[in-house]
Amino acid sequence: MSASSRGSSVRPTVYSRSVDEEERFGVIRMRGGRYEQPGLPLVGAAELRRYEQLVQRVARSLFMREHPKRKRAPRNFGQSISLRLTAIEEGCVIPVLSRTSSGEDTLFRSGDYLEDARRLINDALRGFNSESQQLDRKFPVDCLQELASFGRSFTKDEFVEFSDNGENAAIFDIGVRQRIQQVSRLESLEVELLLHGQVTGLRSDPQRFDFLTGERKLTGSYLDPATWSELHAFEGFAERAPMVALSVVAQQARSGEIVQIQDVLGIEAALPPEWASRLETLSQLRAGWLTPDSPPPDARSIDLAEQLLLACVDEGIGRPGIFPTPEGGVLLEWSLANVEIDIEFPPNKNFAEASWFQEDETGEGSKEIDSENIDALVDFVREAWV
Amino acid sequence: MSSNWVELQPGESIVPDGGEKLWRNINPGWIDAGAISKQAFLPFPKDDYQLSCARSSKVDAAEHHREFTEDFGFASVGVWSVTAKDVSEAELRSIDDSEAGYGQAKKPAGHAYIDYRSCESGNARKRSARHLREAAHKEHPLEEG
Repeated sequence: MSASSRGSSVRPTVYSRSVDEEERFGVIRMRGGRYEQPGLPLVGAAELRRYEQLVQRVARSLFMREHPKRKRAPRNFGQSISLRLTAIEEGCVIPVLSRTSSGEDTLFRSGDYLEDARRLINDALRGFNSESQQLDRKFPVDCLQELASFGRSFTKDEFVEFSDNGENAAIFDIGVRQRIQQVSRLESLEVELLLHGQVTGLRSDPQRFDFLTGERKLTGSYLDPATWSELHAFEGFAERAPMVALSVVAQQARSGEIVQIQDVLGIEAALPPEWASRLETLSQLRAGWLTPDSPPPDARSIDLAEQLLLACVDEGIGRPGIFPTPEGGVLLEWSLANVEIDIEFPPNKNFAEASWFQEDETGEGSKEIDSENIDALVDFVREAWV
Repeated sequence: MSSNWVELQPGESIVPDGGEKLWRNINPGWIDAGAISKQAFLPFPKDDYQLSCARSSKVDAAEHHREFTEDFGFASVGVWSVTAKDVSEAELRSIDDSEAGYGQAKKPAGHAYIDYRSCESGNARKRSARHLREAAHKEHPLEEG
């Protein structure tokens, strides 16, 4: 392939051997959001693994239903019902899953249980797709947790179609997932999401940490011991903890509230290093920094300023000057060519003082804005910027 | 030019509206990524909207910096200057109060202040402070080379 052809277009990802239709494990289409690009996002591979676990769990449950006198499934049951990704076909993302052959199927017809499990899952999803939004009565209730675990990484515009042959597909999306939670009366669901906040405590045994997000303090755990050092780098002791973006697996209550962090998938500073460093500098100022009676910047003022800066990063608003004020507050100062915009967080106040003026005196304004209403503060900056 | 000027106190005099430099020490907190906050040129209510400075005709920048940091014990990364003309263009006045008998027991040599008392709003003060910040030049210490 020439250099020019490499850069000219993105070819669909097709890794394939010839797939025997007998082996093919239904038809799966992953669509929307990240699945509209060529290739399978790796987060999608994790979802396929969760799908396999769901299928295995349902197959095992079906086996136990047919063998009520047995206390457990055969020892090699799990190995014999595993799935393999054998191709990704052209289209949105169409992973081709195939059944493995263990050679011992004759003992307990594992292949049949696997196929029955697949159909039962599809029927269960169709039940949630229908107007009644009911769970198929044949679906084993002891597998609801696994059913609800699937799709934890999906965003609201992503969904999966499950079918036998591409027709009459059962849809799985966030809405279905929430209905599963309601019907099965699960108190919470596993979700993957990004949280912004501060690491305020950290322990290595057990592997736990405290995380302050907004006004809420969450308890979190992490599975990989190496995560300790990553969290430690952002932990606040005597010094103020910087705002971080934490990619997590969390338990989300039916109300939508995050109740617990189960694992940390990634952590990074929420602000660009230079911005965070400047806030750190402000947090280290001591009383008398300007005059003998000057208080240091108030911790809450710094936190509020950080939240607004975080929103500025998200909104593509440029870095302001970040300054202490003589009264112990924090001032964010945008000095543009003909416009000056100030957002000041005074100490011990529940409002921010927002002001702007044009240098040529053709416009100006000022008002007090609820200091926790970050959206309103961003809007003020945006409108003054124009 | 404002018509709301506050009457001068005994011992105060207007600094002539020309090219004389007025020194202003800058606190380290007022500089972020090389940029100066307009707060460095903005007096506050507790200062009665008078911004302290010193006249170049009475003290040089290096001595003013030494006196400010060593004798008075304040933090300063250096001395910046604006001219009396810059002050006038910002719709403010420069007032020499070194001979006035009020205020602090000991004033820095050649003390003067930039008078913001006639500004009618917070934004008016900020606009003038921005003007001075844009006009200011660093005078001491100057980088070698």
